[in-house]
Amino acid sequence: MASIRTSSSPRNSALIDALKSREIWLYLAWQDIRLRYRRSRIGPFWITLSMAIFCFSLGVVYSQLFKADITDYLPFLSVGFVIWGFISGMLTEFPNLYVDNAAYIKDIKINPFNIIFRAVTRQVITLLHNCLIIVGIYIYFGINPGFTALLALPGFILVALNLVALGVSLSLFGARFRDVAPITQSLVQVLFFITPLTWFPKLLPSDSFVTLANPIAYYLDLTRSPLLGHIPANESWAVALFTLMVFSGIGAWMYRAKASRIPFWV
Amino acid sequence: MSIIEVNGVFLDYPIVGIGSRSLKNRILGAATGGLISGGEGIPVVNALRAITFQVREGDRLGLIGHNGAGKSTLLKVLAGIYQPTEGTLSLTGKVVSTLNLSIGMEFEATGIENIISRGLLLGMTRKELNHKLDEIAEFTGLGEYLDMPVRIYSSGMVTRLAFAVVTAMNADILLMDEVIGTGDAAFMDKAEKRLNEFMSRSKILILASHSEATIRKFCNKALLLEHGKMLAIGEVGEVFELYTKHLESC
Repeated sequence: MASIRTSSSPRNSALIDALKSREIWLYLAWQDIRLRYRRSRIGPFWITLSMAIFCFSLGVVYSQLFKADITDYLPFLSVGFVIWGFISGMLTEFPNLYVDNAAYIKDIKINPFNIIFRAVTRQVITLLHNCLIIVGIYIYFGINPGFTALLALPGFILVALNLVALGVSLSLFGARFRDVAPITQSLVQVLFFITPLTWFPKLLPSDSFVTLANPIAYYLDLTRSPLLGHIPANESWAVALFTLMVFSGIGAWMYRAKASRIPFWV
Repeated sequence: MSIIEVNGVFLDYPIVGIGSRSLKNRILGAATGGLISGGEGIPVVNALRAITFQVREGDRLGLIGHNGAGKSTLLKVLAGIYQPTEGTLSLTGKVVSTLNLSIGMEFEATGIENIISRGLLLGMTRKELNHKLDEIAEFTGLGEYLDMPVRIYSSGMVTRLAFAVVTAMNADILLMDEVIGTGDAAFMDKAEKRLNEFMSRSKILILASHSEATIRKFCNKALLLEHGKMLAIGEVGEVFELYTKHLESC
């Protein structure tokens, strides 16, 4: 096995290298989950449990506030909230990613994408745990979304790709400027309220900028709507593809310019 | 054929988050460390300056110099962790660096799990690992403890585990920061034998150490660093003579 490195060669194959070395990040992500099970018997289901309690109590109160039928409102809220858990989890984890992994980064040559993919895999496994809530909702309310639900899978993949692409620049930014993490946290909190999670998007006029300018609203449409038996709007696909291109472009540019600085920053 | 070529390598280490100029000035006069200079914003340590050398297959190079002379930084540049600010660097062969023995130790996970995760991080494939797992596990001498979380291990046991994994690697180019310190007396003999085998398996060894005895024992060449600059490279005895003279003149 031979490898030649020169300081001038760009690391443009880092992404491909990381996909090839998936053994590492898959093992480490599984280990993260396994350890959670070891510490407490129900492991990541603690998150599921607290999420379920949150959805139930909020669902009961808000359905009365909005004078909405609970059989409409609770499924809408719960499915949306499970997906939101994934989105917000990723957004808040990225800025701290390299700082949290400083021990590896400073002492071993490690591909930053391995670290990103480990985090994403862990979040996806957590999401799968939380999907139990959706199953519970289906059973309790007798919802059968039919084959439309399958559309959630490509939708979810597109959303996840968007978050990974955004994560590349967000994690670099967070390593360089430590206040990015608390800023992101507050932004995510604000996003929770301005995104149609606890309220139906139809409550707003259809041309309201609140939903039009918020990419998360489109991401939710791609994933939540099929799970509730509705076909997502065409604009949602278009917007998500567009943001993916933008985020990837910014991510690739920032990665190429700054990834080699990570060990100096953490 | 394994070979390392380092050509005019400079490394400026930015000190992010310390904008204060007064601190910069204070460190400027310090006796250890590289030179610190700053442009407009971020102060910078000139950790390595104009490093040029070549190492061929069979060479065992010892890095010597006082604290902060740049030994570890040079190892990290060779390991590919730090990208040089200027200059080129080429390494032919599989590089294994053992700069920090306990890196990536997950204390909640069991000994076996840690062997696997550390092996993967160091660059083994899962297949290779499965192949070597028994041998590594046996060498640690930890027996049933391997199925228990590392958090209950004594520090000596942790070292045994980490040592066993690292020395199971096959490296063309081996980069080491200090010779790995090891556990109790009974383990010492076993460990030293394994360490010698490990180092002789590699085609090139670069070892940073403060111990003259260690360098004399393992190396046939030495490189003297000071303030990030190369003062000398050559035969071990000669370089140490120069180093001693240099220390006296300070």
